[in-house]
This record gives sequence, C-alpha cells and structure tokens, in this order.
Amino acid sequence: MTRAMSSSTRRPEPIHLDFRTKGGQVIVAPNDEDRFSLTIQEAAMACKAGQKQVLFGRQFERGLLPKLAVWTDQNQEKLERAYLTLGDGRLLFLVVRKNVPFDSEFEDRLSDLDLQIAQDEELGLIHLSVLALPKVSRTCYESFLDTRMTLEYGGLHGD
Amino acid sequence: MGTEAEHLKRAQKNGRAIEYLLLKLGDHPEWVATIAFYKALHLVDALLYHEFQAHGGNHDNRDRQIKTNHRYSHIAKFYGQLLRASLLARYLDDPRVAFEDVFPPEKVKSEILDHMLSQLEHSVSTFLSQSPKPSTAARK
Repeated sequence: MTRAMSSSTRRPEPIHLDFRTKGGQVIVAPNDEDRFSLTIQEAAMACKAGQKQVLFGRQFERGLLPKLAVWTDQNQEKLERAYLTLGDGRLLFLVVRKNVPFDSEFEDRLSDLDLQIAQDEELGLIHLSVLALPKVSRTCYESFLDTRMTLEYGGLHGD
Repeated sequence: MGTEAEHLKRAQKNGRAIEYLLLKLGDHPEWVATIAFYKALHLVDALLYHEFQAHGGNHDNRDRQIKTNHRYSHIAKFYGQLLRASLLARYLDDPRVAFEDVFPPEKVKSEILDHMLSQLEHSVSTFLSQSPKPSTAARK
C-alpha cells in the first residue's frame, strides 16, 4: 500500500462535510466550495474518469457522498472519525473506530457498504476502497490521509 | 502471472507457512495475518483464471472483478476483510496501539483464519469444482 507521505510543511485541514436531510434526500455541504471543486477533480483522476468528469462529479457528489454520510450517521455510535480520501490510486473511505479490539459486526457492516457501492450501477465511475482503523492517535490516522484530497464527515466527535 | 493450478500451488504454500507460524503465533501474529491475505489473493486469482482464463493482474483489477460481480459477493466480502486486516498488520504504526491489541493471537486464529480465510476458501472451492460459466466481464 502506498501511504500518504508526511510533509515537513503543515498538513492542510480536511474539507469538512456537514450533512442534513431535506425532502427525504441527504444533502452534503462542504465548508469550502473552492477547495471542494478541486477535490472532485482529484477524485476523478483517482478513479480514471477521463472524459466523463461531469458524470463522475454527479456520481461523486449526489451518489457517493450522501451514501457515505448515511452510513456514517447510522454507525456513529462506533465511530470517532470518518474521512473520504485517496489511497492506492483510488478513493478510500477511512474510518476511525472508538475502540481498539477487532469488531466483527462492524467489519461486516463496512463490507456491506463496500459491496453495495461497488455493485451500484449508478456509481459506475466510482472506485472506492474502505478501511477501519482502531482508536489510534491523530498522527497515526493522519498518515493514511492523502494531502491532495481529504473530506471529513462532521458531527462525530463533538464538532 | 500464473494459471489456476499455479495459483493454487502458491496458496497451498502460503498455507504451509501459516501452519509453521501457528506454532509461534504469539510472536508473529502480523505475519500470519499478512500471509493469510496472500493466500486469499492466490485463491482469488485461481478463481479468476478458472472463470475468465486470466487472473487479477493487479490489486485494483482483482478487487474490482470480484466486488462488482454479484456471484462473487461472498468471496469479495472476506477478501476485503483479509486485505484490511493485513493492512493493519503491515501499516498500523501507533505508539500505544499494536496489531496484537486489535487482533490478539486467539482472534488471529478465530477471526482471520477460522472465519475470514475459511469462508473464502470454501466459496472459492465451490466455484472451482464447477465448470466455468460463459465469460461475464466486470460491469465496471
């Protein structure tokens, strides 16, 4: 696995995502629209979307982000943090659990999410992997985040 | 690159390495987890060769081939879990949390070997015992 390299310069803050439901739909709102636009471009390159950037953007913003938001919300009692970043040339949904010991039930839920997204024909351009870290230090989980693109799902750890 | 038989041979070799390390599981839980993943990788490549006469090629392609096809969902589930356990074994670097804190030796045995790897092996062997279906390329 190619790990994100630590930089001697300050690591940029992740783009924070808040989400709410409106009319039965999940709306995901970034706290920095300019950086968010660049994020979609990075994600498109990671997923090798090529000439289909517009379609990718739609799948990314209206499909993937809300799905991950719903899952994060449904599992928040076991989650400390949730990020969407890049890893090994594709998107990586990285979560940090609240506990250390392996949790097989949680891992099954993560597997279900992984397969649900992979098999969703409306997310055909999305190439995603998932990873759950145990409760670890900030230095540790940040080493898995790619400085080019990190979105953080809000509302998990008191912010 | 290898054929179905060659990948099965490599999977068996990985299995023997696991058996050897189980004698000292407390000393080498990370290696058992890592080799369990690579055994699974060769089993999946054997499956893909059986079905499509071509193995995974690279991690990304292998991952997509089994995840996007409903027929392989059970295999993909446990392949993913083995991969993630091996990532923790190889890359978890925290001053206060070691791999053994997440997977103590008894969990390496019960969860990684006797559950994840066993489930994957069983599913793969079911496919390998059948004639391959007509080629169905991954949808994505």
